[in-house]
Amino acid sequence: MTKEEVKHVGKFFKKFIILLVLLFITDRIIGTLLENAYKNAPQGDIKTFAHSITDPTEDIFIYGSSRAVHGYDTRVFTDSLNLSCFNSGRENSNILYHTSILDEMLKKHKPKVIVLDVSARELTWRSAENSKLVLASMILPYVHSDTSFANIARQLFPEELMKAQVSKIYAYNSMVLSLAVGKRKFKDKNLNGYVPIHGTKITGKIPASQKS
Amino acid sequence: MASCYFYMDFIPIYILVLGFTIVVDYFAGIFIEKSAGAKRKWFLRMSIAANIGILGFFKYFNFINDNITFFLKLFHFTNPITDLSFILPIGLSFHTFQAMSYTIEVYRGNQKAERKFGIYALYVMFYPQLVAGPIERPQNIIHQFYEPKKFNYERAVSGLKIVLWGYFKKLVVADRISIYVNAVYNNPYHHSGKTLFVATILFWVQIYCDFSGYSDIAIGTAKVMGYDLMQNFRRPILGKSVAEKWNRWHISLYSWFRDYVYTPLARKARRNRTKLLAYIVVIFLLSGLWHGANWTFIIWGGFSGLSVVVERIYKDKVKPQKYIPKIWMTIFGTIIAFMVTALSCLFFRALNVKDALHIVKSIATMKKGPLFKGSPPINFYYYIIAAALLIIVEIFQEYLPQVKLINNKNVVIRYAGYIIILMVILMIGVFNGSQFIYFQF
Repeated sequence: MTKEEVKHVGKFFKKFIILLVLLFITDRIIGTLLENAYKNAPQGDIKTFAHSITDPTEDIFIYGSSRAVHGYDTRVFTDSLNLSCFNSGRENSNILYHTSILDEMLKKHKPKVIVLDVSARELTWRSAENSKLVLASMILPYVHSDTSFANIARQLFPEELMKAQVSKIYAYNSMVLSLAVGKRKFKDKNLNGYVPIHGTKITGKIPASQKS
Repeated sequence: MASCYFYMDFIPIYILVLGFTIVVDYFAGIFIEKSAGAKRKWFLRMSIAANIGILGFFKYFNFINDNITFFLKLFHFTNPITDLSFILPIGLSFHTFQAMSYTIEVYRGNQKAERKFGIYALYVMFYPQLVAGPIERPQNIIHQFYEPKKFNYERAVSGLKIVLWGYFKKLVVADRISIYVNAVYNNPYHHSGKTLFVATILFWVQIYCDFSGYSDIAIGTAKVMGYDLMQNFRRPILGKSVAEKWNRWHISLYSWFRDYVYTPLARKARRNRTKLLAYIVVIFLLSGLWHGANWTFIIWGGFSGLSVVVERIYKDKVKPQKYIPKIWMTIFGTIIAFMVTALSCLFFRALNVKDALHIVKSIATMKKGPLFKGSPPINFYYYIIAAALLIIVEIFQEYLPQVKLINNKNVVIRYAGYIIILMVILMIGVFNGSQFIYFQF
């Protein structure tokens, strides 16, 4: 290596370290702001998840994928059975996700009824992989404070855990808008975890191969 | 060795396929240079046949066989030949075309035959661009392998900035938008005309960012190591006409077809305008076929070629520049050309021709149904933010190049730019490890 090259390498590493320090500071500041927003005003999926694991009180808990989220109206259960009900379903999730949060919930509360909606398709490898990502997005904000979640993350997605440990923002990846505007957006839609959907009718014929 | 390791990380045995083309083209180059007349042409044809043969076998065998089966079925015959079952060698179309450009350039006398086998192997296998281009020309890259490389601060930083922007395109824009596009295109019969239209437009943005993102990462990585690769994209979103959009898109491939297929054909056609226009369509059909062994790609190529031809005829006959002010020509030209190229991409993305035709019909008739289930999902705002960020940056790069962020001379603005991009990647980037779309070609 020539003297000039050494000078270039030195300059490069000096500036690189400055950038890393600035990046670390910014990451911690924004990460802390997001953490506060997450804890103080959770909305939508975050609210459902947080309620299921931190302060569950209802008599009936429903678990499942989008079919559960949009299909099990908690008001019907309450009206018919005179029992309080909460829908802990999550789109794109499967039994891996439900088991993890169910275990966590049972540490704090013993409901009278648990409804678990699982289809055969949700037991496939692909579904498990997708569900891991969904689970990761939900539990990464808790891995610093909850050892059981940290253990789940270590077992199922160690790389994600490592990223969340390096960057505080990463744990809130894809949540910035939900945290910023979620309160207005989700206020009237989420009925104890149940999210009704309207206006989804599609006209026209659907071939057998595309029917789910 | 690093390039070999990189390639063998996928399916190790395929290194033999790559090795075969390297050996054939290495000797073909030398023989072409040493011989003259018909023999010279014969060696070139041998080399091209070997390359096309490998490409044809791996990429098009099943496609041709399926079409033969379909044709025989019409006459109640059965095809005794069954499809082959294997995975396509990664980046096959890219390194095959790069290898062919070498023998063609040697034949044309623009490049000396490379005597050092290692240097020639590196030309084909140089790992930053091995699997998805840019498809290099020997004149641009081989001499760089001889030049001694020293670490240079400015070059390294400049390369890393290109890599950073490439990651932004891939993680923030392409992978984010792919969530929506995949959901719609994997079940096109369940979606309304509006949804399919929006997904098609977004798919163009996705594929542009996916592929140009990879190109940026490849170009930037090579730059850090001291090598200059050719530019592969020049903000095609801002092309003012369909033809200009294509001139800015996948430059290394379309210039390959221009230099090695269109130009020789055009010379033979002399000034026969009909033939020249027909050759444009041929080039696009070939480029469609290059992308994949599926009728959807061929239709996409044909449609793209026809759109260029129609535009050229319209401009020649109507001469709109005479009646419409330049500013409106720029605005309408950019928007119309974008819509044409983006909508043609539905053939590129659709899983088969039947789905593609259904999507065309659904968009054309605006098949009834909502754009979203209820109000737009929060993810949709991310798509809009990601696409808007990209377009804003590209508009600045195109029309206001003096306004700079990560290339600003002011150290505070420059570092703020780095941090903003990295923070946006961390906050809204998608880290699901999805592959680059063009790896499959």
